[in-house]
Amino acid sequence: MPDTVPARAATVLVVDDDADIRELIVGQLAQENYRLLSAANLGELRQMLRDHPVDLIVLDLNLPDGDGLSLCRELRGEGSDVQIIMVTARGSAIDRVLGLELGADDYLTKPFEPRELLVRIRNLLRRGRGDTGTQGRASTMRYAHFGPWRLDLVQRRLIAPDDRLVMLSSAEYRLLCHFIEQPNIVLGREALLPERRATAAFDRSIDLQISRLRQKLADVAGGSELILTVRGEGYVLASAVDYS
Amino acid sequence: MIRRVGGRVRTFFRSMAGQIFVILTLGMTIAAIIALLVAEQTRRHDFERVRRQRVVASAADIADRLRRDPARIESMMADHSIMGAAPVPPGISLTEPDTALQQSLVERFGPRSQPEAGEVPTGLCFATYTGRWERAAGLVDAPRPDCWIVRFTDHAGQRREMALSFPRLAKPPSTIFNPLYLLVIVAASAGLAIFVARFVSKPLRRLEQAAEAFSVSLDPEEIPERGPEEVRAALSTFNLMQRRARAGFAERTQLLAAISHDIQTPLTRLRLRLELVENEELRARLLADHEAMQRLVREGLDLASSTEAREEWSVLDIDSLLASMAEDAEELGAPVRFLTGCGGTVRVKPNALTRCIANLVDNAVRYGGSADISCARAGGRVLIHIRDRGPGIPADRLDQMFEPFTRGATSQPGGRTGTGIGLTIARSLAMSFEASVRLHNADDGGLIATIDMKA
Repeated sequence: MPDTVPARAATVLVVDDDADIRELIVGQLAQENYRLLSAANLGELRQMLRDHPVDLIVLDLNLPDGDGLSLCRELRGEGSDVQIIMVTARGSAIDRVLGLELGADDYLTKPFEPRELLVRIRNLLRRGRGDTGTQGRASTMRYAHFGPWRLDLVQRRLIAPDDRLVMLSSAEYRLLCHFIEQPNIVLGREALLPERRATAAFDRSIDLQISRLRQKLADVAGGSELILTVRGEGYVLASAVDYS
Repeated sequence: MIRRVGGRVRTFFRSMAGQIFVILTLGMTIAAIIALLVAEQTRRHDFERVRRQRVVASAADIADRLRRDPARIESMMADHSIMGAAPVPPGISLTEPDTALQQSLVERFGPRSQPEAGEVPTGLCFATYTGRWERAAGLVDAPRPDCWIVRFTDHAGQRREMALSFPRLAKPPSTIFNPLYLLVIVAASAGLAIFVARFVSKPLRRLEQAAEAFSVSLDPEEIPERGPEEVRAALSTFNLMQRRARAGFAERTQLLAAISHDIQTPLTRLRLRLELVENEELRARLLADHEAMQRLVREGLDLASSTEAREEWSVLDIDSLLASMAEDAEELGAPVRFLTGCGGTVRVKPNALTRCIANLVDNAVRYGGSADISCARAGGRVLIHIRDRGPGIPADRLDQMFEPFTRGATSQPGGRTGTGIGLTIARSLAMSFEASVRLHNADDGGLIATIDMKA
């Protein structure tokens, strides 16, 4: 129920051991209408979480008294649904896959565009906690099963029943994600191409993308009748979707 | 067909196994033949000795009889009634005395006997007694007896002489040049040679395979140190070298990674502070500089992580990868096309391959204006070609392009804009899944980068 976003300003907690970076991020975010907190280490972070209701944490992974990954797992273990954006220097031991599997909602590498961070925070907060079902799934589940296929939600690729990998273009992945989030529901062009909502109704490129996607899915037995055309309305994924 | 067989034979003889085979086969055959010749010589010598011993034995026998009853024996000899001993016809001198026989006679009768002895034509033994042949049937072509004349002084000081005849001893024929014999020798030598050649070249082959694995992969397995002592020592040294090379390489990349990693924090601060710069023009320039620095750091880290290659091997649908990469590039407005696929799957490290292709495509677009991706199977390999329509690279500089921080000529469009490690990363990534990257100029212009991997 995305409509019930709380009226109060969202609280964002910035955690980074570098004082300058912490202040600079806070300074950037201050232009938005957020309540801002900051912490320099895990101890302060836990204290903050006890004292304040926090909606989103911008979490640096390398902290002086521990690493953000274990905190992330800890929070998820406690059943906390606070949103987490991990920020890490590239090339550190963890990678994106591990970060997302351990329950982060998003992932950014340093140095990042300040605007990029802002956009991600905004998106996550908009998605909000009203949608916890999806959220809980997205942050801990890695594979979506439909028909004979598995979709790796982290590496963004398809896995055939014989463990063969089939790569997807970004457009195909986005498209497939829309289908998987709403299986057995007819989706119009606007729903499938929200980023081009204005012109979607006239956009033929989606038909091309659908046909490419179908071709890839039809590659294994039982994969040919997965995406069906509903004349005049759009397309539907004719399969149940499970997660693992 | 014949040419191919000829080629294989040539290759075999150029190989170490082939050379060992030739040397051993020839050597052993020659040695065996020499040994046989020596044996043959000994046999001939023994044969002569046996012949002479007969003469000595016969002469001693006659001498003995003469000592006991000289008159009767002399008359019997003159009468030809002793088989094989007759008086010497008059007027015969020994032109070719047999010294070996005389030596034996000296040993038998003592040094004072002063023997003279030698073989003479058969007719001399029977000069005074002919007609014997006529009295026997079937002997016309029989071998004539050997005839020897022996003269010596007996113990009483009397000079004796006699003509001794013996049935000819047939010398058994030489077996040495019997083809069966030669065949057995050559076959045995060849068999042994093949065995030895295999035995010797096997550890070398293992070493060669290990060296090859080391040249294409950064993380090859150690070779098991088995075999004779020298071989074990060589393998162990090779393993040591491999470990050292890897350690040196790891150290280098770790250094690069550490530096790049530590620069990221100040770069992040810098980036955040740049937002505070009010002067638009200045800010744009600073941002461009920051972008350049950041890219260098990113690629340095990529290079460092590319050599680690911790990724799992997976089986991948190759065409789906190439098509989706072309689509993604097109979506971002880059002129990238996927022309021909090769179907089927390859076993690779998918992210490494993706990044490797992305780097090559990026280069093609930046320096050549566009990229055409195609895939082909040839001789058990899968070749992914990324082709641009740019000016290409002078042939003598092609290999150099893989060295870190080498950039295209400044005159090239886009030259000097990159960090110069894109190709190094691509090659290093390719190595992580046992593939190689090559560059060559197309005949009709443009550069082709090829990723060559196992099918």
